[in-house]
Amino acid sequence: MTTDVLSAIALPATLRGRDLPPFIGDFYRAYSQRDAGLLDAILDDDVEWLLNGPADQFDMYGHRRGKAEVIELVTRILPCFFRIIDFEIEHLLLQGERVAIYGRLRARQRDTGRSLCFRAVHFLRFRNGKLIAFHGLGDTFDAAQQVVGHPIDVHTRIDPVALVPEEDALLSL
Amino acid sequence: MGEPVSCAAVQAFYEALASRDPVRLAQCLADDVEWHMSGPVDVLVFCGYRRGKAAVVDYIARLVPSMFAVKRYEPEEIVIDGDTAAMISNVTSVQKQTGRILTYQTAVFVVFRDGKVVSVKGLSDTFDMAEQVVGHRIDAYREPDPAAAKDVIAL
Repeated sequence: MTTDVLSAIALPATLRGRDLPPFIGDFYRAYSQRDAGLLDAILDDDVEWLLNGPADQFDMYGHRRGKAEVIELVTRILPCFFRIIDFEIEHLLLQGERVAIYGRLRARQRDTGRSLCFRAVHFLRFRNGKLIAFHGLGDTFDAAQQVVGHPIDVHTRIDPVALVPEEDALLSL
Repeated sequence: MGEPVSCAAVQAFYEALASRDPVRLAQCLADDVEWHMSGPVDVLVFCGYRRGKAAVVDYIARLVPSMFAVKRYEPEEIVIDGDTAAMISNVTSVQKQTGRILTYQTAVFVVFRDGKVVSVKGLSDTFDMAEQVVGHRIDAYREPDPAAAKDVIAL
């Protein structure tokens, strides 16, 4: 299997023609095409997925466990924010069944049509050709500004909200 | 891709990085090393681009420790392939100005040439880091108040 399988992804010249195991291309094809069937085939039943970021303000971030949660994230939740156009890889490291990727993800926001571009790293672990762990990190401050479409003022606060009114009789019990 | 880097060279660099020792760091870096940590430089002053051994050593051994005391720098995952190493680390620091403890994960991709570091690209969850540095939750959706921008003149 050659890097041709990653044709949906822009590869640096140093990677073109390099022999890569098929599971890398299978995963990124499923991910970028948001194809539930392809995802079902490449994900391990107990896959662990972690995308670091402000999960309480952007549903795409956070931890997911299991095939169903990851398929829901990729096919339903992520497209609410943007549609991936391409992933330009600057570094692709492979050590056994572990993969580390640094690149630039280009996307288009569904509601506004705006073009987005994020730097991202993905650390992937495969076992027997199935993805068992995904850990993504990115410049989330920049990503959040692009998604909301305006500069973020770090002095704006999210005030804590009391879940129970202070005068609630239950609190005095 | 250049000559494969040895595990020993990778380990020596990460130990030098964790130690913040300028002499050990200088031994690991190429003269023309480039260092890029993505992030909002106006909030996280340790983000941005540095070039050259002196600038990078100053950044790691003086600038960062002047603001943060790094208490723990623990690799979670390391992948080495050819001349490049990638690592995710769990970092715990104390913000010197406030005494607040910051915990975050950071990923670096490090390219070596002849056993020396020539390029470092780093990414972290910068939204989370910014919240920890300013000490409160940040509302991403609230648009900036135009009236607060005193340097903007309406024509």
